[in-house]
Amino acid sequence: MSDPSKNWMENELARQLTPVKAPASLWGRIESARRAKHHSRQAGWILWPAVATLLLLASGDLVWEIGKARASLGPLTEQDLEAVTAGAGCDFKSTDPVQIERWVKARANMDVNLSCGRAGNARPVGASLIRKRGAVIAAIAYEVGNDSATLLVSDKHSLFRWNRDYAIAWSGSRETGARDNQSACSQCHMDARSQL
Amino acid sequence: MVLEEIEKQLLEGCRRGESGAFRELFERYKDKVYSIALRYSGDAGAAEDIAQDTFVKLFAAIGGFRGDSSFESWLYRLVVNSCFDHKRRARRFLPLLAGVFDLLRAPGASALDEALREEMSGQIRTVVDALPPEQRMVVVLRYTQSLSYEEIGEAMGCSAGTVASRLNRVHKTLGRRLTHLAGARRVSVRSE
Repeated sequence: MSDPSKNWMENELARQLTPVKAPASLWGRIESARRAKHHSRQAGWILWPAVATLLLLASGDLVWEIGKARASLGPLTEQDLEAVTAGAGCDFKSTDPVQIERWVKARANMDVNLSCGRAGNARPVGASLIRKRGAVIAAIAYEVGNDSATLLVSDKHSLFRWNRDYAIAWSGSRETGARDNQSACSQCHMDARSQL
Repeated sequence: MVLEEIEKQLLEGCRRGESGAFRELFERYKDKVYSIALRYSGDAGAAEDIAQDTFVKLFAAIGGFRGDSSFESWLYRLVVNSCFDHKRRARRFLPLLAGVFDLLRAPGASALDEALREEMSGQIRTVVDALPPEQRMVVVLRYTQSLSYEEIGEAMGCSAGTVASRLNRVHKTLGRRLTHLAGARRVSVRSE
């Protein structure tokens, strides 16, 4: 490119890019922006304790909820079992173990084996279904001599702290225990609460 | 020397938060800041936004200005950064060289000469509009503020050599576009 062309181009650029006067409104805009910034900073100082308090409350609530969730995931305590037994009642009355098994199967799709074939003074009197912590518990009521007992059966293995499907709650002495179905049967039929 | 002393006192006043000092500093530099913003963005509204951002940042950060470089270099750096920030936000700017045709309409020019001038100015405008932000800023600082390569380099955080190379690239690009038109224009001028 020749020099005259370059000079023309540079002159043209300089002419088209000449400095200009700033508009008179500029100072007003700057002052407004500075004031807004100052106010937002002040508002920040006022707001931050409120935000901190909210965060503290939220985290406290979160800790509480986690604690609650953990408790609900754990096994039932003895008090829970007692409460379950106390509220169980008898939705289905029968002294026939096979009838009770069928009723539980029909209502809760749960296989319960009550026919252990043992002799003794324990006999079923009825059954009910209880919902606890999202699981269904079949509560089979027994008469054991002059006492009564409730056999609790759940298909959720973690529900009883013994990690079994069966638990027994005795109403008289308030003792509770957990067994598999065979040992649960033997406990009732032998009426051997002392071994629990 | 006197000017330097006045500027020093102004800066001290700004650091102490004196509103009169802020105003005086603004009055001294508003046209420079606004010119760069306008020539870079090509839009008066955008230029006001950029100038406003620049001065707000300047007043907020003036306490941290230690005087390692000159105040003007520091100010140019702020403007350059505000322009780039605004460009990133706005994505698209209006044409840089507004009103070019009015400027080129010199009295007494022949119809052909005027047409060629318009064509060449249009070419300049097209090329400059399409420049990458860094090259465009070099052009603006060079032709709006007549800064030296060193001063431009200081404002943009690069070496004078980089500035020279960027400008050279712009000139070459423009030159390629204008060569045939410039030749035609010389012929036209000679024939008159």
